[in-house]
Amino acid sequence: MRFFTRHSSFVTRRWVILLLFLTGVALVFWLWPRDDGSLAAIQRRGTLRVGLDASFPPFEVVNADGRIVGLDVDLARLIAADLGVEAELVNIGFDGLYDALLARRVDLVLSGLPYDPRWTQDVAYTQNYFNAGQALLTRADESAIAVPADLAGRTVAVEWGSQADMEARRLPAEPVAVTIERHATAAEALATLLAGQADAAIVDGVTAVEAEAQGAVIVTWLTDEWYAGAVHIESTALLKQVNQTLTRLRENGGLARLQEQWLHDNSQSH
Amino acid sequence: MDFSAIQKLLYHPHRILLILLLPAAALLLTTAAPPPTIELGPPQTVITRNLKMGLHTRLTDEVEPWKIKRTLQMVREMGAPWIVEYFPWAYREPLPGFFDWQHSDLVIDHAHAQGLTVIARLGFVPEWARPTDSASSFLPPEHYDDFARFVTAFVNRYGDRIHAVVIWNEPNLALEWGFQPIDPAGYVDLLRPAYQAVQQSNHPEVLVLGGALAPTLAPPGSDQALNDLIYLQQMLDAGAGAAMDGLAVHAYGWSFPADDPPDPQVVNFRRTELVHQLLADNGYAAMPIYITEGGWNDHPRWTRAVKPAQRIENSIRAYELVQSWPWAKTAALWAFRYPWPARTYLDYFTFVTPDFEPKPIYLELQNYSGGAGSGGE
Repeated sequence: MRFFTRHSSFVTRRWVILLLFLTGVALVFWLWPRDDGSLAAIQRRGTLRVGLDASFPPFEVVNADGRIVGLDVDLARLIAADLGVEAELVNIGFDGLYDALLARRVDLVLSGLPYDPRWTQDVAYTQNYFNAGQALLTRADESAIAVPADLAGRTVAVEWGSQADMEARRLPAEPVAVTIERHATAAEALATLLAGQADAAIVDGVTAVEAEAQGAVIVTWLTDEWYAGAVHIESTALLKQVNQTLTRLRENGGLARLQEQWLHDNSQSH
Repeated sequence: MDFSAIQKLLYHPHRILLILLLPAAALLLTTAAPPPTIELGPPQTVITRNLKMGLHTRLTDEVEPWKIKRTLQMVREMGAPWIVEYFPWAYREPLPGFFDWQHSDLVIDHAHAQGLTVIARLGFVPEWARPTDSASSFLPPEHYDDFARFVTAFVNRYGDRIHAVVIWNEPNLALEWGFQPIDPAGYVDLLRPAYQAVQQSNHPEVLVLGGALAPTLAPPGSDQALNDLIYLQQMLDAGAGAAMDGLAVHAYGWSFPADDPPDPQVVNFRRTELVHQLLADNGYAAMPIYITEGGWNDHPRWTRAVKPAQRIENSIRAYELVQSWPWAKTAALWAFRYPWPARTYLDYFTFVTPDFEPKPIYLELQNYSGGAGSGGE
């Protein structure tokens, strides 16, 4: 049995072309990003509802006056201002942030949120705005350490039991091992470096930015852990606007100023 | 565009059939292939200085047999003889009377081979036993007997290799009680048939533990939670003491040191002593307590976390405290490993990474216990 005879080849070709065309149109329609109208709803409402877990200083925390403050809070207000609305802070436990977004209880999550590829079918991440990974630091006057391999035979200070401790254990033991000096806190590890009693230190991103203000320099990032905002996957117009604000703040130094404000002196959060 | 290839296919429908069948056959072969066999290996013994050390493993979502084995091996090598593991009812009995034991067989067999003592937590209601769109923690009373039948089947199968079953989890939270009004007497109505099921099973020696309560100060009237000490008293008033052989307890230290003294107004590790005292005050001083979750978190920023060094010191001290409490049988700290990163502060509860890299706390506890991997073997 044949589906078509050779006499019908012209008809067949036309059908195939039509079928391919319709499939293409359907694919474009299916894949074309749709917007859920959330941006228009925000502007009608006059508020951008921002979900955050206010237990994470200096990004968001409840201060002594009972107000939620922090780097993310200020960032949320700048984003809202660009949209011409007020930021409405919605304090939610970290485990419930994505659900709140999907249930449309909030428009944007901005909460020291690490990018997580497992959520990318449901949410869209904004541009990242902070690296909370582990950084290798040295003193500004130390020019002999440019890469981790330069640590051979030298001393690295870390906080005992921390992620930095784990990173230090991964440093090459050949040809000359690194001496790991463990301290009770990251601040003590940093103080050891600045006092010249260690050649380098490994600390998390927040401590690294704080340390820069004290005369340390970041040699390199040993790991990356990027924080980004998140919106509903269908909030394409809102995502574009948030990214525009982040780009502007990155270019005009606004993000750097926020980091300086909250990370160089995070006593404000207490 | 050249359509000749498509046209050729259309003239030969058997080729189309072949093209359609090939992926289907490949799929069948892939899905039908048995999982790679991972040898149990020779029976092992846990080497430790503290026989009450335990860990809550989290193998429910771990699908690869070698990872199950590796997890349990590393628990043994840390020097912890006890594990607590969760066996969701919905996974084991997806249809009424139809049991799928494949995954739980793997966990129980490997745990047994590693010489570990297993406490099995049971819960998670299958869809067939609850209303459509209800929470998986909601079990309508008319299905309590279905749950009891599952408990019987579970204990009949694993009773020779498990020490105890825990009935439900944190029923003093609305979240864990199907978002229904919090109801201690209602929980005892669920506990009682489960207890009887074990008594009438092939292994009545398996202990039935009352579900661990979430340590919380939530007052009566809260729609989210009820203070664990108040809830426990109401459980006992409703007859729970006759429907359990022991009590599971959750003992989180949050930001307090392990030695922080017990205080009804504080949630700390030694709140467990208040739970024991409450049992004693009700005539159950001899009832054993099993800490089935607990410990500290060492996230660098989370407000309830402690420094990593404090977490290490607190965890060791907690194991020492439990060793000194005659009424406490184990402390299984949360959580040995997650199958994948949570990418939140929750990752800072674990002892090894998803890739099985031991964290410093694992090495320090191994050193404390003199476990097999510490050079003490």
